[in-house]
Amino acid sequence: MSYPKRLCITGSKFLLLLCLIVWGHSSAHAANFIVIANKSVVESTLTKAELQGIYLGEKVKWGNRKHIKIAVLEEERTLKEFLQAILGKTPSQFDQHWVRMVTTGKASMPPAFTEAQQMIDFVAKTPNAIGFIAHGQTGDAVKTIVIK
Amino acid sequence: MKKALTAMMLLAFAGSAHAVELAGVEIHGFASQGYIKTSPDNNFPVSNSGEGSFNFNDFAVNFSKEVNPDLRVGLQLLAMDRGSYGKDKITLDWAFGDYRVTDWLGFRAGKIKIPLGLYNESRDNDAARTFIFLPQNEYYDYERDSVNAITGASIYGSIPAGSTGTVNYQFQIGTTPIPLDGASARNYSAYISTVDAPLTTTDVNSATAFVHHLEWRTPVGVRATFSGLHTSFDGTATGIYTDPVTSATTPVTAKWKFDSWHRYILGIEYVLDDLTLATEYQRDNYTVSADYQNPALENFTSKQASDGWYVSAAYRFTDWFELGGYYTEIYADRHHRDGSTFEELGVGAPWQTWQKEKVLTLRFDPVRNLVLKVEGHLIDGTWNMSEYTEASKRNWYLLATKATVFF
Repeated sequence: MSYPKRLCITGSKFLLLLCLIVWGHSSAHAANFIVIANKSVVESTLTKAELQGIYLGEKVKWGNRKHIKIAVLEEERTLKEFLQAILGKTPSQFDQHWVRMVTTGKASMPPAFTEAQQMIDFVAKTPNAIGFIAHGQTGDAVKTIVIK
Repeated sequence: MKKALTAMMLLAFAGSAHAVELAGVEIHGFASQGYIKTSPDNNFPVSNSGEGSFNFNDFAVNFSKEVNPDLRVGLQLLAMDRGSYGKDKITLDWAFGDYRVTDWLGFRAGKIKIPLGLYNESRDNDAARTFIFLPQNEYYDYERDSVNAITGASIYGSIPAGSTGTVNYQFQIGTTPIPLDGASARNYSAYISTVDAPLTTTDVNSATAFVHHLEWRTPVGVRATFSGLHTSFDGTATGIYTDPVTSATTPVTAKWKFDSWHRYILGIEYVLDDLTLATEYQRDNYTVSADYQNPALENFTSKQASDGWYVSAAYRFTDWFELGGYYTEIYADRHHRDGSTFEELGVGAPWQTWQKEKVLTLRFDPVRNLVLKVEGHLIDGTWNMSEYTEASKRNWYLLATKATVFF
Protein backbone atom coordinates (compact mmCIF):
# COMPACT_ATOMS: atom_id res chain seq x y z
CA MET A 1 0.00 0.00 0.00
CA SER A 2 2.16 2.84 -1.24
CA TYR A 3 -0.72 5.20 -1.94
CA PRO A 4 -0.37 7.37 1.23
CA LYS A 5 3.34 7.84 0.50
CA ARG A 6 2.64 8.68 -3.14
CA LEU A 7 -0.10 11.12 -2.12
CA CYS A 8 2.27 12.70 0.36
CA ILE A 9 4.94 13.17 -2.32
CA THR A 10 2.38 14.56 -4.77
CA GLY A 11 1.02 16.89 -2.07
CA SER A 12 4.52 18.11 -1.24
CA LYS A 13 5.24 18.85 -4.89
CA PHE A 14 1.96 20.78 -5.16
CA LEU A 15 2.77 22.79 -2.03
CA LEU A 16 6.25 23.52 -3.37
CA LEU A 17 4.74 24.78 -6.63
CA LEU A 18 2.29 26.99 -4.70
CA CYS A 19 5.16 28.37 -2.60
CA LEU A 20 7.13 29.15 -5.77
CA ILE A 21 4.14 30.98 -7.26
CA VAL A 22 3.53 33.04 -4.11
CA TRP A 23 7.26 33.71 -3.66
CA GLY A 24 7.57 34.78 -7.27
CA HIS A 25 4.90 37.40 -6.76
CA SER A 26 5.98 38.62 -3.36
CA SER A 27 9.59 39.21 -4.27
CA ALA A 28 8.94 42.57 -5.92
CA HIS A 29 11.43 45.31 -5.21
CA ALA A 30 10.65 47.93 -2.57
CA ALA A 31 8.32 50.53 -4.04
CA ASN A 32 10.05 53.60 -5.39
CA PHE A 33 6.95 55.47 -6.50
CA ILE A 34 4.06 57.32 -4.96
CA VAL A 35 0.42 57.29 -5.94
CA ILE A 36 -1.23 60.68 -6.37
CA ALA A 37 -4.84 61.72 -6.79
CA ASN A 38 -6.93 64.78 -7.46
CA LYS A 39 -7.93 66.59 -4.28
CA SER A 40 -11.58 65.78 -4.99
CA VAL A 41 -10.88 62.10 -4.26
CA VAL A 42 -12.20 61.21 -0.82
CA GLU A 43 -9.95 58.19 -0.30
CA SER A 44 -6.59 58.71 1.36
CA THR A 45 -5.60 55.05 1.44
CA LEU A 46 -6.02 52.15 -0.98
CA THR A 47 -5.15 48.50 -0.66
CA LYS A 48 -2.86 46.95 -3.25
CA ALA A 49 -5.84 44.90 -4.47
CA GLU A 50 -7.90 48.05 -4.97
CA LEU A 51 -5.09 49.73 -6.89
CA GLN A 52 -4.74 46.56 -8.99
CA GLY A 53 -8.44 46.69 -9.79
CA ILE A 54 -8.23 50.37 -10.71
CA TYR A 55 -5.33 49.90 -13.13
CA LEU A 56 -6.94 46.84 -14.74
CA GLY A 57 -10.19 48.73 -15.34
CA GLU A 58 -12.18 46.54 -12.92
CA LYS A 59 -12.68 49.05 -10.12
CA VAL A 60 -14.08 52.14 -11.81
CA LYS A 61 -15.78 54.02 -8.94
CA TRP A 62 -14.48 55.85 -5.90
CA GLY A 63 -16.29 55.43 -2.58
CA ASN A 64 -18.49 58.43 -3.40
CA ARG A 65 -19.52 56.70 -6.70
CA LYS A 66 -17.57 59.16 -8.82
CA HIS A 67 -15.93 57.62 -11.89
CA ILE A 68 -12.18 57.02 -11.51
CA LYS A 69 -9.92 58.59 -14.15
CA ILE A 70 -6.60 56.74 -14.33
CA ALA A 71 -3.41 58.05 -15.89
CA VAL A 72 -0.13 56.32 -16.74
CA LEU A 73 3.42 57.64 -16.48
CA GLU A 74 5.55 56.27 -19.30
CA GLU A 75 8.90 57.12 -17.69
CA GLU A 76 10.47 53.66 -18.00
CA ARG A 77 11.89 53.02 -14.54
CA THR A 78 8.87 54.26 -12.58
CA LEU A 79 6.42 52.52 -14.91
CA LYS A 80 8.23 49.19 -14.59
CA GLU A 81 8.44 49.45 -10.80
CA PHE A 82 4.79 50.44 -10.43
CA LEU A 83 3.49 47.71 -12.74
CA GLN A 84 5.68 45.03 -11.19
CA ALA A 85 4.90 45.97 -7.59
CA ILE A 86 1.16 46.58 -7.99
CA LEU A 87 0.01 44.50 -10.95
CA GLY A 88 2.78 41.92 -11.33
CA LYS A 89 2.90 42.82 -15.00
CA THR A 90 5.53 44.05 -17.41
CA PRO A 91 4.89 47.18 -19.52
CA SER A 92 4.19 45.04 -22.61
CA GLN A 93 1.69 42.89 -20.68
CA PHE A 94 0.03 46.06 -19.37
CA ASP A 95 -0.13 47.51 -22.91
CA GLN A 96 -1.66 44.29 -24.25
CA HIS A 97 -4.25 44.29 -21.46
CA TRP A 98 -5.40 47.78 -22.42
CA VAL A 99 -5.31 47.02 -26.15
CA ARG A 100 -7.73 44.17 -25.35
CA MET A 101 -9.93 46.46 -23.26
CA VAL A 102 -10.09 49.09 -26.00
CA THR A 103 -10.61 46.79 -28.98
CA THR A 104 -13.49 45.05 -27.20
CA GLY A 105 -15.18 48.33 -26.32
CA LYS A 106 -14.82 47.90 -22.57
CA ALA A 107 -12.87 51.05 -21.78
CA SER A 108 -11.04 54.07 -23.10
CA MET A 109 -7.25 54.04 -23.26
CA PRO A 110 -5.84 55.75 -20.15
CA PRO A 111 -3.97 58.96 -20.93
CA ALA A 112 -0.19 58.50 -20.76
CA PHE A 113 2.49 61.06 -19.97
CA THR A 114 6.23 60.97 -20.51
CA GLU A 115 7.09 63.56 -17.82
CA ALA A 116 6.15 63.47 -14.14
CA GLN A 117 5.14 67.14 -14.20
CA GLN A 118 2.68 66.43 -17.02
CA MET A 119 1.17 63.69 -14.87
CA ILE A 120 0.92 65.97 -11.84
CA ASP A 121 -0.71 68.71 -13.93
CA PHE A 122 -3.25 66.25 -15.38
CA VAL A 123 -4.16 64.77 -11.99
CA ALA A 124 -4.37 68.22 -10.42
CA LYS A 125 -6.84 69.56 -12.96
CA THR A 126 -8.92 66.39 -13.53
CA PRO A 127 -11.55 65.61 -10.88
CA ASN A 128 -11.39 61.99 -9.62
CA ALA A 129 -8.04 61.34 -11.35
CA ILE A 130 -5.34 59.03 -10.05
CA GLY A 131 -1.75 58.56 -11.21
CA PHE A 132 1.72 57.63 -10.03
CA ILE A 133 5.13 59.29 -10.10
CA ALA A 134 8.60 58.67 -8.73
CA HIS A 135 9.30 59.51 -5.08
CA GLY A 136 9.82 63.12 -4.10
CA GLN A 137 8.21 64.76 -7.11
CA THR A 138 4.79 65.65 -5.74
CA GLY A 139 3.65 69.19 -5.03
CA ASP A 140 0.70 70.79 -3.26
CA ALA A 141 -1.61 70.54 -6.26
CA VAL A 142 -2.39 66.84 -5.69
CA LYS A 143 -2.91 64.53 -2.73
CA THR A 144 -0.86 61.45 -1.96
CA ILE A 145 -2.57 58.09 -1.59
CA VAL A 146 -1.12 55.67 0.95
CA ILE A 147 -0.97 52.03 -0.21
CA LYS A 148 -1.80 49.69 2.65
CA MET B 1 -11.90 50.77 -45.76
CA LYS B 2 -8.17 50.29 -46.24
CA LYS B 3 -7.67 53.92 -47.35
CA ALA B 4 -9.65 55.21 -44.37
CA LEU B 5 -7.66 53.00 -42.04
CA THR B 6 -4.37 54.11 -43.53
CA ALA B 7 -5.39 57.75 -42.99
CA MET B 8 -6.31 56.95 -39.37
CA MET B 9 -2.96 55.23 -38.82
CA LEU B 10 -1.00 58.18 -40.19
CA LEU B 11 -3.03 60.54 -38.02
CA ALA B 12 -2.39 58.34 -35.00
CA PHE B 13 1.36 58.14 -35.56
CA ALA B 14 1.56 61.88 -36.21
CA GLY B 15 -0.06 62.62 -32.85
CA SER B 16 -0.44 60.57 -29.72
CA ALA B 17 0.90 57.04 -29.80
CA HIS B 18 -2.27 55.90 -28.07
CA ALA B 19 -5.35 57.15 -29.86
CA VAL B 20 -6.94 59.60 -32.19
CA GLU B 21 -9.63 61.78 -30.63
CA LEU B 22 -12.03 63.82 -32.71
CA ALA B 23 -14.80 65.87 -31.11
CA GLY B 24 -14.72 63.73 -27.99
CA VAL B 25 -14.86 60.49 -29.97
CA GLU B 26 -11.92 58.20 -29.26
CA ILE B 27 -10.70 56.24 -32.27
CA HIS B 28 -8.55 53.10 -32.25
CA GLY B 29 -7.80 50.47 -34.81
CA PHE B 30 -5.47 47.90 -36.24
CA ALA B 31 -4.42 46.58 -39.61
CA SER B 32 -2.82 43.18 -40.13
CA GLN B 33 -1.49 41.68 -43.34
CA GLY B 34 -0.14 38.18 -43.43
CA TYR B 35 1.15 35.47 -45.70
CA ILE B 36 0.29 31.82 -45.18
CA LYS B 37 1.58 28.59 -46.70
CA THR B 38 0.41 25.08 -45.89
CA SER B 39 1.09 21.64 -47.30
CA PRO B 40 -0.27 21.70 -50.87
CA ASP B 41 -3.20 19.33 -50.24
CA ASN B 42 -4.37 20.87 -46.97
CA ASN B 43 -5.80 24.38 -47.30
CA PHE B 44 -6.49 25.84 -43.87
CA PRO B 45 -7.73 28.25 -42.67
CA VAL B 46 -7.24 30.22 -45.87
CA SER B 47 -8.84 28.45 -48.81
CA ASN B 48 -5.80 28.75 -51.10
CA SER B 49 -3.05 28.43 -48.49
CA GLY B 50 -1.70 25.28 -50.13
CA GLU B 51 -0.17 27.34 -52.89
CA GLY B 52 0.78 30.19 -50.53
CA SER B 53 -1.58 33.11 -50.06
CA PHE B 54 -1.76 36.77 -49.12
CA ASN B 55 -5.56 36.43 -48.65
CA PHE B 56 -4.87 36.68 -44.96
CA ASN B 57 -5.61 40.03 -43.35
CA ASP B 58 -7.68 41.83 -40.72
CA PHE B 59 -8.57 45.52 -40.53
CA ALA B 60 -10.58 47.23 -37.81
CA VAL B 61 -11.39 50.68 -36.57
CA ASN B 62 -13.44 51.49 -33.50
CA PHE B 63 -15.12 54.63 -32.21
CA SER B 64 -16.21 55.25 -28.64
CA LYS B 65 -17.59 58.18 -26.73
CA GLU B 66 -18.17 58.80 -23.06
CA VAL B 67 -21.68 60.25 -23.00
CA ASN B 68 -21.33 60.82 -19.25
CA PRO B 69 -18.96 59.24 -16.69
CA ASP B 70 -21.26 56.21 -16.29
CA LEU B 71 -22.42 55.76 -19.89
CA ARG B 72 -20.29 54.85 -22.90
CA VAL B 73 -21.25 54.01 -26.47
CA GLY B 74 -19.06 52.57 -29.19
CA LEU B 75 -18.75 50.41 -32.26
CA GLN B 76 -16.08 48.58 -34.23
CA LEU B 77 -16.00 47.95 -37.97
CA LEU B 78 -14.01 44.92 -39.07
CA ALA B 79 -12.96 43.52 -42.42
CA MET B 80 -11.01 40.31 -42.91
CA ASP B 81 -9.93 38.01 -45.70
CA ARG B 82 -9.38 34.27 -45.50
CA GLY B 83 -9.74 33.43 -49.19
CA SER B 84 -13.13 31.79 -49.57
CA TYR B 85 -14.72 33.85 -46.79
CA GLY B 86 -14.37 37.30 -45.30
CA LYS B 87 -13.14 38.84 -48.56
CA ASP B 88 -12.53 42.18 -46.82
CA LYS B 89 -16.25 42.84 -46.54
CA ILE B 90 -16.87 45.42 -43.80
CA THR B 91 -18.92 44.04 -40.92
CA LEU B 92 -20.15 45.44 -37.64
CA ASP B 93 -17.92 43.61 -35.17
CA TRP B 94 -19.46 45.06 -32.01
CA ALA B 95 -21.66 48.03 -31.14
CA PHE B 96 -23.13 48.61 -27.73
CA GLY B 97 -24.05 51.00 -25.00
CA ASP B 98 -22.48 50.41 -21.59
CA TYR B 99 -23.96 51.73 -18.36
CA ARG B 100 -21.90 51.13 -15.21
CA VAL B 101 -23.92 51.52 -12.02
CA THR B 102 -21.17 50.48 -9.64
CA ASP B 103 -18.05 48.28 -9.62
CA TRP B 104 -20.10 45.12 -9.21
CA LEU B 105 -22.94 45.96 -11.60
CA GLY B 106 -23.05 47.21 -15.16
CA PHE B 107 -25.34 46.75 -18.15
CA ARG B 108 -24.59 46.48 -21.85
CA ALA B 109 -27.03 46.33 -24.76
CA GLY B 110 -26.37 45.92 -28.47
CA LYS B 111 -23.93 43.63 -30.27
CA ILE B 112 -21.52 42.54 -27.54
CA LYS B 113 -18.36 40.41 -27.74
CA ILE B 114 -18.85 36.94 -26.25
CA PRO B 115 -16.50 36.17 -23.33
CA LEU B 116 -15.64 32.53 -24.05
CA GLY B 117 -12.48 31.26 -22.40
CA LEU B 118 -9.43 33.38 -21.73
CA TYR B 119 -9.16 35.14 -25.09
CA ASN B 120 -12.33 35.01 -27.25
CA GLU B 121 -13.25 38.65 -26.72
CA SER B 122 -9.85 39.88 -27.90
CA ARG B 123 -9.09 37.25 -30.54
CA ASP B 124 -9.33 39.67 -33.50
CA ASN B 125 -6.41 41.88 -32.59
CA ASP B 126 -3.10 40.26 -33.40
CA ALA B 127 -1.23 42.80 -31.25
CA ALA B 128 -2.97 41.59 -28.09
CA ARG B 129 -1.39 38.13 -28.07
CA THR B 130 1.74 36.15 -28.80
CA PHE B 131 0.45 33.77 -31.44
CA ILE B 132 -0.87 34.36 -34.96
CA PHE B 133 -3.39 31.54 -34.56
CA LEU B 134 -4.81 30.95 -31.12
CA PRO B 135 -5.32 27.22 -30.41
CA GLN B 136 -7.97 26.10 -32.87
CA ASN B 137 -10.10 24.10 -30.52
CA GLU B 138 -11.16 27.05 -28.38
CA TYR B 139 -10.62 29.69 -31.07
CA TYR B 140 -11.55 27.95 -34.32
CA ASP B 141 -11.19 30.38 -37.22
CA TYR B 142 -14.14 28.89 -39.15
CA GLU B 143 -16.38 29.48 -36.17
CA ARG B 144 -15.39 33.04 -35.37
CA ASP B 145 -18.40 34.61 -37.09
CA SER B 146 -20.87 32.59 -35.01
CA VAL B 147 -19.26 32.93 -31.56
CA ASN B 148 -17.80 36.44 -31.89
CA ALA B 149 -20.71 38.48 -30.59
CA ILE B 150 -24.21 38.22 -29.24
CA THR B 151 -26.97 40.65 -30.15
CA GLY B 152 -28.85 41.29 -26.95
CA ALA B 153 -28.04 42.39 -23.43
CA SER B 154 -25.64 41.58 -20.64
CA ILE B 155 -25.00 42.28 -16.99
CA TYR B 156 -21.46 42.29 -15.67
CA GLY B 157 -19.30 43.46 -12.81
CA SER B 158 -16.29 42.97 -10.54
CA ILE B 159 -16.62 41.63 -7.02
CA PRO B 160 -13.68 41.91 -4.60
CA ALA B 161 -12.87 38.55 -3.01
CA GLY B 162 -10.65 39.81 -0.19
CA SER B 163 -7.15 38.43 -0.12
CA THR B 164 -7.98 35.93 -2.86
CA GLY B 165 -8.36 38.59 -5.56
CA THR B 166 -11.33 39.61 -7.67
CA VAL B 167 -14.17 37.77 -9.37
CA ASN B 168 -15.39 39.25 -12.65
CA TYR B 169 -18.64 38.00 -14.12
CA GLN B 170 -20.68 38.42 -17.29
CA PHE B 171 -24.08 37.01 -18.21
CA GLN B 172 -25.45 37.56 -21.70
CA ILE B 173 -28.71 36.76 -23.45
CA GLY B 174 -29.61 37.31 -27.10
CA THR B 175 -29.00 35.73 -30.48
CA THR B 176 -25.74 34.98 -32.24
CA PRO B 177 -26.06 36.29 -35.79
CA ILE B 178 -24.62 33.81 -38.32
CA PRO B 179 -23.90 35.36 -41.74
CA LEU B 180 -24.79 33.21 -44.76
CA ASP B 181 -21.55 34.05 -46.55
CA GLY B 182 -19.38 33.31 -43.52
CA ALA B 183 -17.24 30.34 -42.58
CA SER B 184 -19.71 28.91 -40.04
CA ALA B 185 -22.45 28.59 -42.68
CA ARG B 186 -19.96 26.84 -44.96
CA ASN B 187 -19.11 24.49 -42.14
CA TYR B 188 -22.76 23.61 -41.57
CA SER B 189 -23.13 22.95 -45.32
CA ALA B 190 -20.14 20.63 -45.24
CA TYR B 191 -21.57 18.85 -42.20
CA ILE B 192 -24.75 17.74 -43.95
CA SER B 193 -23.40 17.39 -47.50
CA THR B 194 -22.75 13.96 -48.93
CA VAL B 195 -20.41 12.87 -51.70
CA ASP B 196 -23.37 12.71 -54.10
CA ALA B 197 -25.15 15.82 -52.84
CA PRO B 198 -22.96 18.86 -52.10
CA LEU B 199 -25.21 21.42 -50.42
CA THR B 200 -25.06 25.15 -49.79
CA THR B 201 -26.76 26.76 -46.82
CA THR B 202 -29.32 29.35 -47.93
CA ASP B 203 -30.93 30.26 -44.63
CA VAL B 204 -29.85 30.24 -40.95
CA ASN B 205 -31.94 30.99 -37.86
CA SER B 206 -30.48 31.29 -34.38
CA ALA B 207 -32.49 30.55 -31.27
CA THR B 208 -32.00 32.52 -28.06
CA ALA B 209 -28.47 32.08 -26.77
CA PHE B 210 -27.26 32.32 -23.19
CA VAL B 211 -23.65 32.98 -22.18
CA HIS B 212 -22.07 32.87 -18.72
CA HIS B 213 -18.51 33.75 -17.88
CA LEU B 214 -16.70 33.85 -14.55
CA GLU B 215 -13.13 35.04 -14.15
CA TRP B 216 -11.20 34.72 -10.94
CA ARG B 217 -8.13 36.96 -10.91
CA THR B 218 -5.84 36.14 -8.01
CA PRO B 219 -3.14 38.43 -6.56
CA VAL B 220 -0.42 35.89 -7.42
CA GLY B 221 -0.67 36.13 -11.22
CA VAL B 222 -3.17 33.30 -11.76
CA ARG B 223 -6.32 34.00 -13.77
CA ALA B 224 -8.94 31.26 -14.01
CA THR B 225 -12.04 31.35 -16.21
CA PHE B 226 -15.11 29.21 -16.65
CA SER B 227 -17.43 29.99 -19.57
CA GLY B 228 -20.49 28.49 -21.20
CA LEU B 229 -22.49 29.09 -24.36
CA HIS B 230 -25.92 27.52 -24.81
CA THR B 231 -27.84 27.85 -28.06
CA SER B 232 -29.54 26.11 -31.00
CA PHE B 233 -29.72 27.04 -34.64
CA ASP B 234 -31.26 25.64 -37.80
CA GLY B 235 -31.37 26.36 -41.48
CA THR B 236 -31.95 25.26 -45.03
CA ALA B 237 -29.42 24.01 -47.54
CA THR B 238 -29.96 23.36 -51.22
CA GLY B 239 -28.10 21.48 -53.91
CA ILE B 240 -28.32 18.73 -56.49
CA TYR B 241 -28.23 14.99 -55.82
CA THR B 242 -26.51 12.97 -58.53
CA ASP B 243 -27.29 9.26 -58.60
CA PRO B 244 -23.91 7.46 -58.65
CA VAL B 245 -25.26 4.68 -60.89
CA THR B 246 -27.55 6.40 -63.38
CA SER B 247 -26.13 9.95 -63.10
CA ALA B 248 -29.71 11.18 -62.88
CA THR B 249 -30.05 14.40 -60.91
CA THR B 250 -32.73 15.63 -58.52
CA PRO B 251 -32.87 18.83 -56.49
CA VAL B 252 -32.36 18.70 -52.72
CA THR B 253 -33.76 21.17 -50.19
CA ALA B 254 -32.58 19.99 -46.79
CA LYS B 255 -33.70 21.21 -43.39
CA TRP B 256 -30.92 20.93 -40.81
CA LYS B 257 -30.58 21.70 -37.14
CA PHE B 258 -27.86 21.96 -34.52
CA ASP B 259 -29.91 21.50 -31.38
CA SER B 260 -29.11 22.06 -27.70
CA TRP B 261 -25.55 23.20 -28.28
CA HIS B 262 -23.75 23.39 -24.96
CA ARG B 263 -20.15 24.58 -24.87
CA TYR B 264 -18.04 24.79 -21.72
CA ILE B 265 -14.51 26.14 -21.46
CA LEU B 266 -12.25 26.02 -18.42
CA GLY B 267 -9.09 28.14 -18.62
CA ILE B 268 -6.11 28.97 -16.42
CA GLU B 269 -3.43 31.55 -17.14
CA TYR B 270 -0.37 32.22 -15.01
CA VAL B 271 1.86 35.26 -15.45
CA LEU B 272 5.22 35.53 -13.70
CA ASP B 273 7.33 38.45 -14.87
CA ASP B 274 8.02 37.83 -18.56
CA LEU B 275 6.60 34.31 -18.57
CA THR B 276 2.98 33.54 -19.47
CA LEU B 277 1.61 30.01 -19.17
CA ALA B 278 -1.93 29.08 -20.19
CA THR B 279 -4.11 26.03 -20.59
CA GLU B 280 -7.76 25.56 -21.57
CA TYR B 281 -10.14 22.65 -21.95
CA GLN B 282 -13.27 22.87 -24.10
CA ARG B 283 -16.18 20.46 -24.31
CA ASP B 284 -19.10 20.61 -26.79
CA ASN B 285 -22.36 18.63 -26.74
CA TYR B 286 -25.03 19.03 -29.41
CA THR B 287 -27.40 17.10 -31.66
CA VAL B 288 -27.21 17.46 -35.44
CA SER B 289 -30.11 16.43 -37.63
CA ALA B 290 -30.84 16.68 -41.33
CA ASP B 291 -34.09 16.09 -43.21
CA TYR B 292 -33.11 15.95 -46.88
CA GLN B 293 -36.68 15.73 -48.19
CA ASN B 294 -35.34 13.48 -50.92
CA PRO B 295 -35.87 9.69 -50.84
CA ALA B 296 -32.41 9.07 -52.23
CA LEU B 297 -30.75 10.53 -49.15
CA GLU B 298 -31.02 9.09 -45.66
CA ASN B 299 -32.11 11.54 -42.97
CA PHE B 300 -30.10 11.43 -39.77
CA THR B 301 -30.02 12.59 -36.16
CA SER B 302 -26.67 12.34 -34.43
CA LYS B 303 -25.50 13.25 -30.94
CA GLN B 304 -22.07 14.87 -30.98
CA ALA B 305 -19.56 15.06 -28.12
CA SER B 306 -16.30 16.78 -29.01
CA ASP B 307 -13.53 18.24 -26.90
CA GLY B 308 -10.03 19.64 -26.97
CA TRP B 309 -7.31 21.22 -24.89
CA TYR B 310 -4.02 23.04 -25.14
CA VAL B 311 -1.05 24.14 -23.08
CA SER B 312 0.92 27.23 -24.08
CA ALA B 313 3.97 29.14 -22.92
CA ALA B 314 5.36 32.50 -23.97
CA TYR B 315 8.45 34.30 -22.75
CA ARG B 316 9.46 37.87 -23.53
CA PHE B 317 13.26 37.98 -23.70
CA THR B 318 13.58 41.68 -24.50
CA ASP B 319 11.29 44.65 -25.12
CA TRP B 320 11.23 43.67 -28.79
CA PHE B 321 11.34 39.86 -28.82
CA GLU B 322 8.98 37.19 -27.50
CA LEU B 323 9.04 33.44 -28.07
CA GLY B 324 5.95 31.29 -27.64
CA GLY B 325 4.67 27.82 -28.31
CA TYR B 326 1.74 25.57 -27.66
CA TYR B 327 0.52 22.03 -28.08
CA THR B 328 -3.13 21.29 -28.71
CA GLU B 329 -5.35 18.27 -29.30
CA ILE B 330 -8.88 18.36 -30.72
CA TYR B 331 -11.26 15.41 -31.02
CA ALA B 332 -14.51 15.23 -32.98
CA ASP B 333 -15.72 12.36 -30.76
CA ARG B 334 -14.33 12.38 -27.25
CA HIS B 335 -15.83 8.95 -26.57
CA HIS B 336 -13.83 7.45 -29.46
CA ARG B 337 -10.58 9.39 -29.64
CA ASP B 338 -9.10 6.76 -31.95
CA GLY B 339 -11.50 7.79 -34.73
CA SER B 340 -13.10 4.36 -34.89
CA THR B 341 -16.66 5.66 -35.35
CA PHE B 342 -15.66 7.60 -38.45
CA GLU B 343 -14.01 4.50 -39.86
CA GLU B 344 -16.98 2.25 -39.02
CA LEU B 345 -19.39 4.63 -40.75
CA GLY B 346 -17.14 4.53 -43.80
CA VAL B 347 -17.01 8.33 -44.07
CA GLY B 348 -13.30 8.79 -43.66
CA ALA B 349 -10.01 7.80 -42.08
CA PRO B 350 -9.64 7.86 -38.27
CA TRP B 351 -7.16 10.73 -38.43
CA GLN B 352 -9.82 12.93 -39.99
CA THR B 353 -11.53 13.02 -36.57
CA TRP B 354 -8.68 14.64 -34.68
CA GLN B 355 -6.16 17.44 -34.99
CA LYS B 356 -2.96 17.59 -32.93
CA GLU B 357 -0.69 20.58 -33.38
CA LYS B 358 2.76 21.66 -32.24
CA VAL B 359 3.23 25.40 -32.70
CA LEU B 360 6.18 27.77 -32.35
CA THR B 361 5.91 31.56 -32.69
CA LEU B 362 8.41 34.41 -32.83
CA ARG B 363 6.96 37.84 -32.05
CA PHE B 364 8.91 41.04 -32.70
CA ASP B 365 7.95 44.55 -31.55
CA PRO B 366 10.62 46.59 -33.40
CA VAL B 367 8.90 49.92 -32.75
CA ARG B 368 5.86 50.93 -30.75
CA ASN B 369 2.54 50.12 -32.46
CA LEU B 370 4.11 47.63 -34.89
CA VAL B 371 4.17 43.86 -34.39
CA LEU B 372 5.79 41.26 -36.65
CA LYS B 373 5.26 37.53 -36.22
CA VAL B 374 6.48 34.27 -37.72
CA GLU B 375 4.75 31.01 -36.82
CA GLY B 376 5.10 27.34 -37.70
CA HIS B 377 2.65 24.47 -37.10
CA LEU B 378 3.28 20.74 -37.40
CA ILE B 379 -0.11 19.04 -37.56
CA ASP B 380 -1.40 15.50 -37.32
CA GLY B 381 -5.01 15.05 -38.49
CA THR B 382 -7.52 17.20 -40.34
CA TRP B 383 -10.66 17.52 -38.21
CA ASN B 384 -10.73 21.32 -38.41
CA MET B 385 -10.68 21.24 -42.20
CA SER B 386 -14.26 20.11 -42.66
CA GLU B 387 -14.90 22.64 -45.42
CA TYR B 388 -12.24 20.91 -47.48
CA THR B 389 -13.13 17.28 -47.17
CA GLU B 390 -10.66 16.27 -49.86
CA ALA B 391 -7.69 17.07 -47.62
CA SER B 392 -5.51 14.05 -48.11
CA LYS B 393 -2.46 14.56 -45.93
CA ARG B 394 -2.58 13.28 -42.37
CA ASN B 395 0.67 14.98 -41.39
CA TRP B 396 1.03 18.50 -42.70
CA TYR B 397 2.48 21.91 -41.93
CA LEU B 398 1.32 25.51 -41.72
CA LEU B 399 3.68 28.51 -41.91
CA ALA B 400 2.43 32.04 -41.39
CA THR B 401 3.82 35.53 -41.05
CA LYS B 402 1.89 38.62 -40.08
CA ALA B 403 2.57 42.33 -39.67
CA THR B 404 0.21 44.42 -37.55
CA VAL B 405 0.03 48.14 -36.89
CA PHE B 406 -2.33 49.37 -34.18
CA PHE B 407 -3.21 52.55 -32.39
